Amino acid sequence: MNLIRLILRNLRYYRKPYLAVVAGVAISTAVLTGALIVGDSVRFSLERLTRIRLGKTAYALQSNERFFRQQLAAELTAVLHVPAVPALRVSGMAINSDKELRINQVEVTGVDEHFGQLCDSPLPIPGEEEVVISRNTAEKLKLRPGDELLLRIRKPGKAPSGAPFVAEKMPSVSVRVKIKAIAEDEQLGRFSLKSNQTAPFNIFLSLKQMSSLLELPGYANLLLVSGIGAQQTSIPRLDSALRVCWKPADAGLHIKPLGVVSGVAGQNIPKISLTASPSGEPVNRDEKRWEITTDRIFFGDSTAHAVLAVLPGCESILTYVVNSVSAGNRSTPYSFVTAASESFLKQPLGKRQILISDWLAGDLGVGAGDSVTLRYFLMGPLRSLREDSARFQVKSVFPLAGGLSDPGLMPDFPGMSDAGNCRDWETGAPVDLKKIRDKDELYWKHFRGSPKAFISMNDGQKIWGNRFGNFTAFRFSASGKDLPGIESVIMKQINPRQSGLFFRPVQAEGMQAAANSTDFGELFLSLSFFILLGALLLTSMLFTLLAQSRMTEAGLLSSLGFRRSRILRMFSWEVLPVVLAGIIPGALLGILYNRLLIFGLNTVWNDAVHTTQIVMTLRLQTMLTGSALGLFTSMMVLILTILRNLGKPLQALTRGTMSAQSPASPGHLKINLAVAATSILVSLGLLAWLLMTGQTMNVALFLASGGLMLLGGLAAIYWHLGRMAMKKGAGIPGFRELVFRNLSLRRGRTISAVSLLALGTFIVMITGANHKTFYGAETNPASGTGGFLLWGETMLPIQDDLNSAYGGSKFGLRDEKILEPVRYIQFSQVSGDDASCLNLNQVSTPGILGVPAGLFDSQKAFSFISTDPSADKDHPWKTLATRLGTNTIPGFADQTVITWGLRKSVGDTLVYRDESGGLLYIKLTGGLDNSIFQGHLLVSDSLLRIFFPSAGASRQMLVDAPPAMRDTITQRLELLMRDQGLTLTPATARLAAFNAVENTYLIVFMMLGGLGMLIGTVGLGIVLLRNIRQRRQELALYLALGFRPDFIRRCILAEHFVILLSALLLGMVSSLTGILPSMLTPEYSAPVGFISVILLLMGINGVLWIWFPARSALKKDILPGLRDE
Amino acid sequence: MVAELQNISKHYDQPGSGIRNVILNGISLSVGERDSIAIVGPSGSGKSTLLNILGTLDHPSSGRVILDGTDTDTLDENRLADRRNRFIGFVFQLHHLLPQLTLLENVLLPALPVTDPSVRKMTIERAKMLIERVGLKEQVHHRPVQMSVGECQRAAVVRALINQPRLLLADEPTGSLDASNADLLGQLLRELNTEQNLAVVVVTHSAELAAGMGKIYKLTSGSLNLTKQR
Repeated sequence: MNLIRLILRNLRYYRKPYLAVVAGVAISTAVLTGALIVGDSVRFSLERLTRIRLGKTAYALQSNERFFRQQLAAELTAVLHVPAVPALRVSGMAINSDKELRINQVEVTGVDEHFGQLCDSPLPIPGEEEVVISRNTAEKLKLRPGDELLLRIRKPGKAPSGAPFVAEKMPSVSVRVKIKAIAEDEQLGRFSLKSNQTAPFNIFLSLKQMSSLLELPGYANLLLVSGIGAQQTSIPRLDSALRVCWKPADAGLHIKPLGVVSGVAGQNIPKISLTASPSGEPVNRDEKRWEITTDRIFFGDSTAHAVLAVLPGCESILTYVVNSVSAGNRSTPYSFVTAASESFLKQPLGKRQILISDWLAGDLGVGAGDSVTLRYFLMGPLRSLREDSARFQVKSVFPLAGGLSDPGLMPDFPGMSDAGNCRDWETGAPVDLKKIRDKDELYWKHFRGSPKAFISMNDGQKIWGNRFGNFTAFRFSASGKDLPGIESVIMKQINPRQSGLFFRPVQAEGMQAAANSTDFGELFLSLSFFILLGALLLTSMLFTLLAQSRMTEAGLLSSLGFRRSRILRMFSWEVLPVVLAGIIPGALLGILYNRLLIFGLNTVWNDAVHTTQIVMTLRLQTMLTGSALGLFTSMMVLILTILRNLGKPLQALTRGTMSAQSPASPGHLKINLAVAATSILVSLGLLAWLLMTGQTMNVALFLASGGLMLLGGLAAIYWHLGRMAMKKGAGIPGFRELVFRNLSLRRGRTISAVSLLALGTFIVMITGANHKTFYGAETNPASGTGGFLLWGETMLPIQDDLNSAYGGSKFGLRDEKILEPVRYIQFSQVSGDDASCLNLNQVSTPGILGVPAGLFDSQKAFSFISTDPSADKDHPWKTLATRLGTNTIPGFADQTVITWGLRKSVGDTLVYRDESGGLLYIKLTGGLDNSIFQGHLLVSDSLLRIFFPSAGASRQMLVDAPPAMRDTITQRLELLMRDQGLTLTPATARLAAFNAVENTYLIVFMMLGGLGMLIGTVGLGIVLLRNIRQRRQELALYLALGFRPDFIRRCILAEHFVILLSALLLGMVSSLTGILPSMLTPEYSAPVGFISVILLLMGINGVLWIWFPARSALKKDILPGLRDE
Repeated sequence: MVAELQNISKHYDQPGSGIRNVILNGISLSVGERDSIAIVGPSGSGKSTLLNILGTLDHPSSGRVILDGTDTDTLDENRLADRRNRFIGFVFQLHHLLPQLTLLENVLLPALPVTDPSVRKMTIERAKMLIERVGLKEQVHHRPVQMSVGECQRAAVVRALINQPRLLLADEPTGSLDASNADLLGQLLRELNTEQNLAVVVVTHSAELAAGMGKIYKLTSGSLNLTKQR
């Protein structure tokens, strides 16, 4: 006889009860392993989706509103020896006219034959008037190859549309195309540079046709670098290759010769010393004049500084359109006036001095020494115009012919420079045609945009300086240089990053975002908590029955001289193979559990993941981890059970069984009472303090209060049972007393049962009641909708303020009476990743929205969960408008986004690249409470425009209108702004979409919790059966004493109904404390029906598990129980 | 002296009532080598408690228990268990044989901590000899369920003797046996007392069993009185 043999004998003998324990272990291991596999599966699926959406693309340069030569890709390929592919990608709208189906947000990408190098299976390149569409687009629009599609594509210009006098000529272009093919996943049908598991609706055109449609022939805004053979490729290498290859056109610059400088005219022109050409040829003394202009009309600050650094002393020019130049009662309308450096003017100009042409002097009847007034528009956000004026004194008059004036000084304003006459001008600002005289048309005909006057650069920048830049041209003379040489010198000085051209390691970023994505392993471990608890309790209960039946055995071993520790160790060794036997099927069951969870995520719980692409991934490491956790938790439970039941083996032998607890001691009772009273009082005190201090959003403390109430309640019940156990009745006990005496006899078991059920009720109630609904909250400013009615998104950026007369009229909004009460709150934006809970990937730079902080403050819109200590508590929105440093501004985001999407806290800082390539730090200064802005970072509109001048147009807006008119207004607005691709969503629906994620998790938790409860109640049923078995002698005695069987059954039923009802009641009361924050929020609507159904189901479940064992209690012959005595 | 009880008292307090139930009151008892002692008394008089205290299964409220010259108060729980394992053998009213083991395995159960192969071998031989000695040779591989109550109780006696204890404590060993089996067991205990140099202390209601012992003590009202000495 040795230990192993003894254990084997024991295992064999007790195989049946141990099989039940194996089942319990298997369930808990399955839950742990299954949950961990979900984590792997989601992570793997996201990584797979990253590979699918990027194909072989490893690096990407996405310049959005800036365009570079397609040829740049070929040049980079030659330098890097890695395929670099050009593309043109803008948003658009797709319409299936036949079936009246449309998608307002599609991504239209122009590709050429090189694009195939990035796909696993080459994408068929569409020909003229053909497109290839992604599978999801085809399904949404019900299109097949050969069908026709109407495509409206946003038509961005090279000049930023928000810049002064840049007309929005044709914001979009439409084309009817035929479907050539459907792009599958391996053909980059899901192509996207955004770390998001949701596939965009993709449409591919030929690059040639796309650039032709957008009037950007030969240009691209996307450059993709293949990762194949790119082991040596890196961001620094790509950037340096870019610096080698890029040309002025890639930076939107034009360097052109103006002519040879000679004679007297050239004497005063600054001569720029450029370094010798690379070939080292001798410097030619002949000098040429050169001009640098930009497609963007205004030079950005960083580019201007670079030009000034390489060409110090060059002529700088800022030409502006003035509405009028007037003197007395005479006025000349719509003229170009140039601010220029002294080097250009060849004479110093004092403050507020002006040189005017003889034409203007004649028109106004003024001469040197007279004053003139310039009136001009200044452009604010959303092209809002404000007319300002400045008074100047005429220093001298210059001849229009052959003097300073030059039509080339007028920037290439789209809509103006190519206009045949003044009346055809499209300036992006209102032009009063009545003011244009014949002589003005004549001037335009002969002199085009030749400036009629000049002021100093200082004055010009003071009055016309804007966020897009302070220069429109630079001129210089240089000797001994041809165009390529000059271009080379200048381009070397400019960093491509300053022009928005930089590479990102999109593949690595995507993989990192996927790797750091929401940990579904952890999440499902938490969601499976109750099922795990149920399984462990079941294991414990099943093993307790066995352990109790072997108490005498333990006692015997003790009497035979076995040390207590040895006995416990022997039992522990004995259960180890049982646990191991449970783990293997448990791990396999875990795969099944995981399949079930993944099936749920891809179907009914799809709101939580927003993709149907989650596939199961099995990793040995995870299986082993799950098994090890299963082993650890099960062993812990079993060892605890051994300690609890067999820890005092001698008592079992010398005092009989321990199934009936000894009477409680007064000391224990006092401790119970103290715990009960303290917990309940602290819970109530905490509740009162939270309510009195207005901390109704402090969910954690409310939950703590609920938890304390639960603990206090359980302690109170235990105390009461203890008291009942000590009670000495003087007479014949009544039915009720008998029930409570019986309950108190095994009060450990009673309290276990109450705890399990009460905790289950508590959890189900908490999750059920926190199920978010928003009925009737539309008008409450403090709610997540901010009190706004609708959320709008457009395909085309809206350049104008829809509330203004000009903007309203432009879209026909002013003509509609029904739209009179409607207000539009438009947001400027910078694109970025979606940081909302709809995106599973971890994002580092979410999209930014520029919001009107002042308006939100005045309306006290939205609520905050947390704010930075530096923020104004009463007016948190005001904090947003204050710049925190040269490159630091404050930002808000939803607290959930901060915590889960960004893994940050309030007070942390996010780092962005601004439009000129500089670093912008956004400090998180506030966390919003569950708002419609989820997924975005909010900054002040005015501060955003400083760092992102091109971000002025809006594509997202809030619409404020009477709720009663919601549907009518929605229909009307969508119709009027159909061409802009406006989609309006009720703000509550948008919020509900975000809440759907949380609600889905709650549903999952509740469903798994329900399953856990079921498992737990199986355990309770078993305990009940065991109780009845152990009480056979007692029941037999009742029968022998002449009690009716019905009375005995009622007695058993009543005992267990007391357990059930007290547990349900305690769980409900405690959970009501915990859900107070939800109940106190204005938008809360208690899901009474939902909770009632859940509680009813739990009640029915409990009753069933009580009813059947109780009914069967007296069915067997229990009289032999007496003989056992 | 094999064992000695010095002024042993045992009482239980009723929680909350302030009432103290005195079970044993200043009892002293000396058990010498080859002594055979019967302790008799009415039910609830504390006979089993006294035996449990003597066997170190229970602790006295006051007084000293000396085993083989060692005060058990000086031994920790583990050393006490070791002492019990090697020095004392127990026989209960119910045999407490493990249903999952055979007769031989049940008998060998106390020798489980033994690791020395030669000792183990000797123990097995001794077990077989003792089993044969008590007339259970044919049942050596039987499970308890396949044996009669009397056979089980005799097996329990063998189990108690397997580690060659110097003191055998038996608590109502014939309580669950019929008259013939009770006689057989009584005879066995007496024979072992003389053959094996074993001190035997028996708690019993059986006058026949008590009469076979060298000394008879009566326990009443917490006091132990010698009523017969052979």
